[in-house]
Order: sequence, then structure tokens, then C-alpha cells
Amino acid sequence: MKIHPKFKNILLEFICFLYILLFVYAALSKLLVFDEFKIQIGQSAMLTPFAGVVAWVIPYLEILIALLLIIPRFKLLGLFASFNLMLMFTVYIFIILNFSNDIPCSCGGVLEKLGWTEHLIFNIAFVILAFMGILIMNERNNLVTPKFASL
Amino acid sequence: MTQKKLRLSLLVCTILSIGLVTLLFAFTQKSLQRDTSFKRDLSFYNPTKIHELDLELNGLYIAGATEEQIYLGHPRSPLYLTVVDSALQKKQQVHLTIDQDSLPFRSPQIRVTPPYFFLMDGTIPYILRGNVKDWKAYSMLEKPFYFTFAEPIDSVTLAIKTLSAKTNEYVLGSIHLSDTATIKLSHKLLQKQVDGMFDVDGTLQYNHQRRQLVHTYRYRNQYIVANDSLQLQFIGNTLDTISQAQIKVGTIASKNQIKMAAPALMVNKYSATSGKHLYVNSKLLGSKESLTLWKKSSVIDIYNMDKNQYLFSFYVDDIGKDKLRSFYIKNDKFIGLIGSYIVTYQLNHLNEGITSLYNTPNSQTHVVPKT
Repeated sequence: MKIHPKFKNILLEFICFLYILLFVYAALSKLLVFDEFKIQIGQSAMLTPFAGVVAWVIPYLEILIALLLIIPRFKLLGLFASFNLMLMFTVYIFIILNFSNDIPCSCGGVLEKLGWTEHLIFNIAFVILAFMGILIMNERNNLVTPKFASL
Repeated sequence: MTQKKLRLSLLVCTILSIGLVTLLFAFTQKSLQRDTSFKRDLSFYNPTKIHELDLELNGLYIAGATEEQIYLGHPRSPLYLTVVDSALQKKQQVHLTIDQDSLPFRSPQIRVTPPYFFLMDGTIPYILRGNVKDWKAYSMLEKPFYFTFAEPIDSVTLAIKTLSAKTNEYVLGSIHLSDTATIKLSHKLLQKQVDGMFDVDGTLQYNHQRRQLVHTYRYRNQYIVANDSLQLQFIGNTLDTISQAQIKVGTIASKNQIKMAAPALMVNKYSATSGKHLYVNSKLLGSKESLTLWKKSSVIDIYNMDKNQYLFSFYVDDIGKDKLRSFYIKNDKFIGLIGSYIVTYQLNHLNEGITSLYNTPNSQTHVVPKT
């Protein structure tokens, strides 16, 4: 990519900021109405057997990833985790939309207002953002590491 | 990380994520479960589709039917009825007028039982009645009796399903629209199995020939028949063996709501009754039934309510991707709604034929034991 490094840095910080915002918001809006979230998870035929576990794991995992993104040392790990989780959500939506008979929704807050197709586009956009973040981050690390090595 | 290592880890991540969710789906995807405890009898009876008409409007419901006409209502335009002739050739609209300037509509329903028709909404609540000659409706319900569903019994009485304030469970009852409206509830008819709300869900019909209420449970293999005074006549069983409703409910304390917490096993999706027969659209595949046929049609099981006996079944074909949504029986005609289409099937020889059919020695009729 032939973009100015300064701009890349800003873009990276922006991507992380968006992810932190999204995950913290999503986690809180789930935890605030936890009993409802748990029921919604259970209504999804795909998750019924694991409803209890999934309902607990998802919000805390989101908060954990947000923390990883905040701490500079773990930023790359956080980006990878974000990429993975978002990709899983996206695949889940894709499968629900195309192969499942019933379509339940368990996203918190305003995200609940999104239609399924909008949701899919929203998620894909975030997957791409995380992907870009990983590329930029890696490029920066590669630039930085040799310098230190030479020292 | 080197470019190569990065590409590799991204690729591994992508494959793992997609794989994990796909596997989850593959393992939780319930294949259509075949109930091997019963076998449908599809050999004797094959009613033929006689008419089909595209109404160009989805979401219609059958408000009533006579020999000549079928009345269709739409929840979103409660002051209009679509009227089609029984040969499904002509379609016209009827505009209802009401004795007041405006009415609130939350869950409006129309029922046409000539010479009367009813316009009602049990969530507001109100019941208006009028004559089909001028389609002008007058307010009839003097007291605020709430109900979730109602079927006219005669010109002044309606069978209802409502949430009992006493038990917070659904009950059957009747509303009498005389000078002073009265309501009567029976806490004995619907039998609670799980929560008394979701598990007693079902189709309530009124059989005018026999003057009986028929309620077919959605999540268990039962139907109940009661007379006009809400006395239980008998409890019948449908073909399958799902005697206990397989549902799970959860409470959302913050919203004071009760919801289904897991996908439920639906047994009887919808039913209709005429004469001594009950027609049930079952969602359970029996033994040795064709899966290909099952996927592109809906099955109707016919029962004789006099003998609490299963007679036989027939298939109603899907139209495009749409399955049979609801249906109505008028004499020897089966009227069904599928997507935006209305169809009629000829139920020939049903009344004369049945006796001889289930007496034939080689008939494979499944006889349901009397309860």
C-alpha cells in the first residue's frame, strides 16, 4: 500500500477505536438484558444446545477483545481476535439467512434494528476493517523490528 | 511476521472461523424427524384441485364462506373484504361502514356468517355486528371483555379464547351480546402442561352443524370438543404420539414477558371442521411417507369426531415456495390459502364413501383408541 505512514497510523487507531466501541457497546447491551439475550440465543436452533454457555461467553469475550485492542502490546492479537469473532458472526448470519428455517435475532441495542441483510453488510465491512488493521499493524511491526534489531 | 507468515495465519484464521460455525450448523441442523409410530393412509383418497386464483395480495385470511361466496379479510385493511365466488372466477371488494367515525385497530378480525358479519378486536376490545345486505356494522359489546380470538356461534354469542385474569392462563369461553353483555369462562377445557400460555396454543373453530367448539392443540396430539355451554364432550387424539407439548419457555423479568426459549416441536399447525369431520394440517412426517412429496406439500389428516377415529389423509401442493397457510371447509369443498393464492379442492364422496372405506378389510386405517 502506498499510503502515507502517518495516515496508516491514524487509520489503524480508528479501526481499533471502532472495534472497541462496537464490542463494548454490544457486550453491555447484551449484559443489561441478559435474561432476554439468553432466551434469544436459545431460540436459534443452531445454538439451543449451548445457549447457556454461548450467552455467557460472547459478551465477556467481546469485552476481553476490547481490552486487548486498548493495550498496545496486545493490539495485533486483539485485531486477530476481532477478525475471527467478526468473521464467525458473519458466517453465522450468512448460514441463518440462507440455510435456516427460522431467523431469530440476538444483537443488542440499535443493532437489533438492522435488517439481516444490512447486518451482513455491516459485519462484512467490519471483517474487512480488521483485515486492514492486521496488514497495517504487521507492516509497521516489520518496519520497527529490524531497526531495533540493528541497534 | 513475514508476509508469508502473515498470509498463512490469516488463512488459517479464516478457515478455522468459517469451519467452526459451519460445523456448528451441520451438527445442530435437525434433519426432519420421522415419527415411525404411525402411518398415514394416502391410498384411498385423492381430492383434486378444482380451482386456483391469484388474489395478488398476501396475508389474507378466510373470514367465512357460503355455498356461493368466500369472504377474505386482511388484518391491515380491516374495513375491506375481498369476496370471491366459489368457482374462483370473480373477485370484488366490499367496503364495511361502521357506526362511529373511527376505530382503533390492533388485531382486527372479521367473521362472516350470513346474514350477519362481525368486526372485532379483542385487544381494544370491541365487537361490531352488521348485516351482509348493507355491510354496516354497529357496536355490540357494552362491556370491556378482552379476548385473543373469537368465533361466532350465533347472532349474539361468540366462542372465545382469552387470558384468564384469575390464573393468567389461556381459557375457552363465550361472550353473550344481549342488552347487558355477559362473559363465561371455562377453566376446565384447556389443560395446562407447561405454562398454560404457549402449550395450550391451537386452533379454535366452531362447528355450526354440530353446535360444538373444537380446539386443536398446536404442540400436542389432542383436540377437544365442547358444546355451546362449554361442557367437555370428549378429547380426541391426532395420529402421532406427541402427548406432551415439547416447548421451553423463559421469563424476561425486565420486560415482564414470557417467551419461547427454544424452537418448539409443532404437531398440528392448523385445523378446520365441518359436519362430523375434523381436518388437521399436521407437521409430523409419518413412517414410509415420501420425503420429496412432504417437502413440496402440506398434509391434511381427516378425522371422524363421532368415533374419535382417523380416516385418511391427502396432500395440498405448495405454490412456488409457499405452503398452505390456513384453510376452511364448506360442505364438500376444501378452501385453502397459499401465499397470495386461494385454491379449492373437491372433497368428493367423503360422506358416503367413508363408512365403506374404513370397513374394507385391507384398509390400513389407524384406529385411535377412545379416551
